[in-house]
Parts: sequence; structure tokens; C-alpha cells
Amino acid sequence: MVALKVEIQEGCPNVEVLIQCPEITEDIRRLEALVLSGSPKLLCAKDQKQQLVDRRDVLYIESVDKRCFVYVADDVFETDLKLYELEELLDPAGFFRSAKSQIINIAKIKSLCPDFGGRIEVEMETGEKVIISRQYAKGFKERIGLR
Amino acid sequence: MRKLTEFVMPIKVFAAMIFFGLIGLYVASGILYAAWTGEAIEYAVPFVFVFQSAGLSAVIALLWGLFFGEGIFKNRRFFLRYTLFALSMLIVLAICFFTFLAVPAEWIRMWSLAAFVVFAGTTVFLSFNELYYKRTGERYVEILNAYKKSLR
Repeated sequence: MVALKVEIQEGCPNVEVLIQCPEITEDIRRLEALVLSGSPKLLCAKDQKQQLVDRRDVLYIESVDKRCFVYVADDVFETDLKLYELEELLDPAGFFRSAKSQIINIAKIKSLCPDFGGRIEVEMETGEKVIISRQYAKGFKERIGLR
Repeated sequence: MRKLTEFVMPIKVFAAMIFFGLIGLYVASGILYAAWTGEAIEYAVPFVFVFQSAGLSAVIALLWGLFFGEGIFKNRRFFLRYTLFALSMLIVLAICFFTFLAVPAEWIRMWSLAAFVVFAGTTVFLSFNELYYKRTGERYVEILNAYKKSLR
């Protein structure tokens, strides 16, 4: 059972969330990530250590075997959030669902080139290439004002 | 296991379709060749050809799965994938045609020429497509840059 308690303290400079639990479970980790979703940083993990990754540094996020990986210029982190949660969270911040298992940061796109079959090839600022699949290409064009 | 099944099942279905096509091609070639030369039409398909075309179908379907599936070439452009597929197909067909495939020599020439024309033709067509896509991409980038400015 989860109890939620909100305390209003006048003059408090920051919003503070305290999670009290008997042990760290996957649900707790996801709760942590969701709590931090209001901040401009994403709670990620690498080598069993938690780290905050600035959303602006993220190139793209990929889901592989039900695990979500956050790609930045020279590193990869894992997050406990699901891809659909990340999509909801990051969509207003200039991210776009580019494939069934991928979200890209539009601000980090260097160039675009359409491909056969309605796909769009995307070159990120790092030179890495990803594909916007046919199902999502139309939405992407509408998003950036191509149609 | 699930991943293996996801990879194998579409390839198996595609291989069956190619096999059906190869047998059909054999029969059609026989009829056409007989009509051309005035010889009697031979409807029978050699048993060894059935085995060989089953193997060839599996190889073609595997190459297709390799270059057009969700594997290592997933994030590559279609033009590159197709060119690699066409080249590997020409090599495979050349090996089959000129070594062991149980088909009359006249048909080999006809089939080789047809395969080369199809692959060369589609490669030229796709090359022009690539040029068009590059130009379209430049227009996309201009619009993208305007959108990125609006994000700031």
C-alpha cells in the first residue's frame, strides 16, 4: 500500500520528495524517475550507479528487449522509465517518437534525407544515423512543418 | 527462441514463394523455348532441379532477410541495401548457373541476361531516386532548421 502525503511549508525554497520504503524495487526506481521527470534532467543509470542526464544532451532513446537506453554524444545510459512514459514526458521538450522502439531529440538532428519506402534517414550532430520509420515519418513532417 | 522464430518464419514463407516462382520459371522457359525452336514441349521438371531450386530459394530468402530485415543493415539506406543484395544475388546466381544448376545451357544465357537487366535497371532507377532524395533532403533541412530555432 502506498500512502501519499503533501506538506505545504511556506518559505520552502525547493520542492522536496521523500520516498520511504523497506527496500529499493523496480517500482521504486521508476517512481524516482517519474518524480524527477518534472526536472530538466533524466534519472538514468550506468554501471549500477544512478546519474542525472540533461535532456538537452540526449540524442535519442532506444528500447531494446524491454529496456530503455539513453544515448548521449559519447555515452549510453539505461533508464527505468518505459518508452511510452518517456514519450509523454519528452514530447513537449522537442523529442519525437521516430520508430516503434525509438525517440529522437529534434534539436540534435543535423540533416535529413528521405529514403525509399517513405522512411527518413536522420543524421544526428554526432554523425550517427538513425531512421524515422514509415509509420512515424508523416507525423514528423507535420511536426516540423513540412506539410 | 522467439527472436529466431521471428527471423525464420518470414524467410521460410518468402523462400516458399521463390521456390514456386523458380518452378514456374522452369516450366515457362520450357514452353517458350519449345515454341521458339519448334521442338516438342517438355513439361516434366527434373527431380534434381526441384532440390536445387529449393536450396537456391532458401539462399535468396536468407540474403533478402539479411539485407532488408531488422538486422545489421536496419539503419542503412535502401539504395545501399539493394545494391549489396543485387551484387550478392548476381554472385549466387552466377555460381548456380555456371556450376551445377540442372538447366539447359540456352536457358542459362537467357536467365543470366534477364537477372542482369533486372538488377542493373533497378540500380540505375534507384540511383536517380537517390539524387532526387538528396535534393529533397536539403529542403527538409532548411525547414528543420527553422523549426529548431522555434524550439529555443
